[in-house]
Amino acid sequence: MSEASSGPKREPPGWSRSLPPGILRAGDRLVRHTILLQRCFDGTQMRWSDALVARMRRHAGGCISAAEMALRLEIERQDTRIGQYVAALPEACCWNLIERHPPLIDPVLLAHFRDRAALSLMRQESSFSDPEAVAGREDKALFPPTVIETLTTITLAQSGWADGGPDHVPMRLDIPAEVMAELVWTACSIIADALIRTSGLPKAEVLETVQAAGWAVLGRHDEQTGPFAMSALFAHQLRVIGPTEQQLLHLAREGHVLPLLAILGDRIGIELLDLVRAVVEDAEPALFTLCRAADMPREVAVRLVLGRRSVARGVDDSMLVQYADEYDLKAPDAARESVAELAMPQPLRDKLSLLHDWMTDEC
Amino acid sequence: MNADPVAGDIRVVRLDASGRILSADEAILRLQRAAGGTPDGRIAVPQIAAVAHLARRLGILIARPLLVGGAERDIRLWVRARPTDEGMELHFSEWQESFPTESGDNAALRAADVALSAEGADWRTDGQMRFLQTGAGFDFGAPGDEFFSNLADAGVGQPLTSAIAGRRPFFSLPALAKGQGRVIELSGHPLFDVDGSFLGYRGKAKPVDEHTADVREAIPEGKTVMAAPDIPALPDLGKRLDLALRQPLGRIIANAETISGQMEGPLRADYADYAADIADAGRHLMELVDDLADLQAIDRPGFKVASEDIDLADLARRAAGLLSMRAADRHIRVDAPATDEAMPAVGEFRRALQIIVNLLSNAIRYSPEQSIVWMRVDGDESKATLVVADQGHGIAIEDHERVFDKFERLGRDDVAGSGLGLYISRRLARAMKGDLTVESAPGQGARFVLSLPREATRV
Repeated sequence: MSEASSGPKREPPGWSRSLPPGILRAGDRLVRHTILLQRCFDGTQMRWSDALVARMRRHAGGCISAAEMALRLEIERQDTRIGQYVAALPEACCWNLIERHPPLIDPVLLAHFRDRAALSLMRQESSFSDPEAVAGREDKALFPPTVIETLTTITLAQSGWADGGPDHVPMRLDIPAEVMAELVWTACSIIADALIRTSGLPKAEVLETVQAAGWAVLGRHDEQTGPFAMSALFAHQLRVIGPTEQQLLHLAREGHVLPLLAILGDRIGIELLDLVRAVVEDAEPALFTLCRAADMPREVAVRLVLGRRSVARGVDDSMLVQYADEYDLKAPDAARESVAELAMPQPLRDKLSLLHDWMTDEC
Repeated sequence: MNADPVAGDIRVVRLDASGRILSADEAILRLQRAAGGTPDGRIAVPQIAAVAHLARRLGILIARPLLVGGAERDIRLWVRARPTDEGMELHFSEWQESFPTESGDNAALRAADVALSAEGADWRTDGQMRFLQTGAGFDFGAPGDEFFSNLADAGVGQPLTSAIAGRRPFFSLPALAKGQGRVIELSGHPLFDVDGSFLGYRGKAKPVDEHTADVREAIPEGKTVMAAPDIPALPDLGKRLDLALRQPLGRIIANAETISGQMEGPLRADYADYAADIADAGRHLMELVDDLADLQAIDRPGFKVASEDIDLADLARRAAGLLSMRAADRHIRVDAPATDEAMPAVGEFRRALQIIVNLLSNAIRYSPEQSIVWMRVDGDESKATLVVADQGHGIAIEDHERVFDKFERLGRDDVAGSGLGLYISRRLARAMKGDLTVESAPGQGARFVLSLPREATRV
């Protein structure tokens, strides 16, 4: 028996938590089985929806293919000789290889695509019945012009997230800087490896050109064009006027999920990326607690939780009603205390969690 | 919460490949100076430095919100850091200033609890528990460090971690300074802004052994000591007043400045003047509160200062930087020691700077416009001196000692000054085994001489 199955308590690899089984066509049987078990019988009431798995794969494939396209163009621009070999590589070679070898994609990267996919589904869920609402005529009356401009930019940028094309067709690379760096170097490594194998060119020459192309692509990236940074800016701008209950309700009703979460994170001091992860992964009571900690109106909390149902099937309606009824009874101070850990640095949270698990095991 | 004067504008800083400032707007240089940096040095504001570092490391543009914490107010802004061929270009916009507020009805009392350890070193963190500021004598972390990377619970049941996780105030909790392997005593209270957003902690730290030594000194031989009840004693009235007044005054001053500067739209000139008067009066009251707090501390039996290696020339340059705007307003040139000049001495960094700022502030206040204030350092084997000389009206010889008396203002009736600054400065200088004297005559300006022991004569 392999080491991976050496004990019943052994955790599956970290990257498997957010890995869609659909991309494991030729993957390791044991890993595939572990992921399926994790996905279907994870011991909680959470289940990732098929829509989320499909959308996540679309985002991963689309962004990786976009990075590949940018790198191909840059390599051709920098060195026409190597460019000829790049042009001869099969289309979407990066995504194709990742589909065959999923561990190539970093867990942080895949988790980010899952979060993007979840946000786009939550937004879609809210605005499905009224597409005109996205343009938001009321936005103009409720918010100052500078804030409206930011909100419009976020809305337009996020509209591309609902793209339902084939997985390997490029999507707009509107991702945070750290994610972009990981993505570009992943694509660089695949292209460089393919060139070294197929071109017969000196390895050092290939690596130098690919690396230069990677830096050039990164140098042109502007994370502020992405909805995450724009939403953080939106919350920052709105902080000056202090968002009213009417504005918060409007954002929730119009499906401005990410801007709303940015305000929530700003209020309770949690980084937006961490908060989005919590909203996607945590159970419903935790979502209500987050909203309560940020002193959000009850309706905002309920809409957020209902929107999340397109991402993961949760508790029954009767339980949701109970949670919602208890919302106003929970003191904001107590809620803040409950979610304070999320504001701590990630390494500290990881270590605390590890220690907690060890101590529990010892007991 | 107020919009900063530069809200909406874009302020730019350019760095060279080694991270040194090539050019910067004045608003950013003010932050740089407040963080102890120089206009052509590396970025000293830890939050800005961290973004620049990330952008340089990844070779990618970073666009993020930033919280830059200060002693009295926080600045939130939006930064775009773009690596360039020369080094780095940082654009700052969307400036907002906010004032930390206490949560809960009993906020002043909770803050007062923290002040029980008033002699400790100051520290301040952001909402992610990274140090924003560390005062003189705080050797347990530097701005930018993570709180829990440097400090850990030393008490049973992790009371410190649990208090911070719950964003509750804590008082005199033992903590292990990891780098030094010793236990210190920490107090802190959480800060929230007007929206209730958690802004981090502000607190005090002191070594446990120093504290216990103080206690031992206070107990006469042969006396038995009753076990103290497990309730923190309340600080005295002066300290409570200090804590209760400082924040409201800060808000009054900032709001009055916003109105007088007509930053949120034009205003009738006389109304703007009234607001300027309110801001002036507020600043005067704030100085008085500062002075009263200091007075109370230094008049307390057993008052001690730390013994550190300091550089009087460096302190003089820092003081000149801090007061450069005030001097420029009055068209006064401050001639500080050259950047390559040094004058080592022994004293407490923060207290020595306080004295020099007081001397320079007086010199600027009482000098005629278009004049010069000189700051010169000198020394011999046993002592280092700093002279602050102005071209003001001077002080009569019979008043040379009186100026160091409490509340002595030599008959001046202008609104500025509390009459405590020189008294406090001399007490502080003497506590550091130095002295503060004046040489002057009417019509000849004044020369205040601060002397402190050289390294050979430890405090």
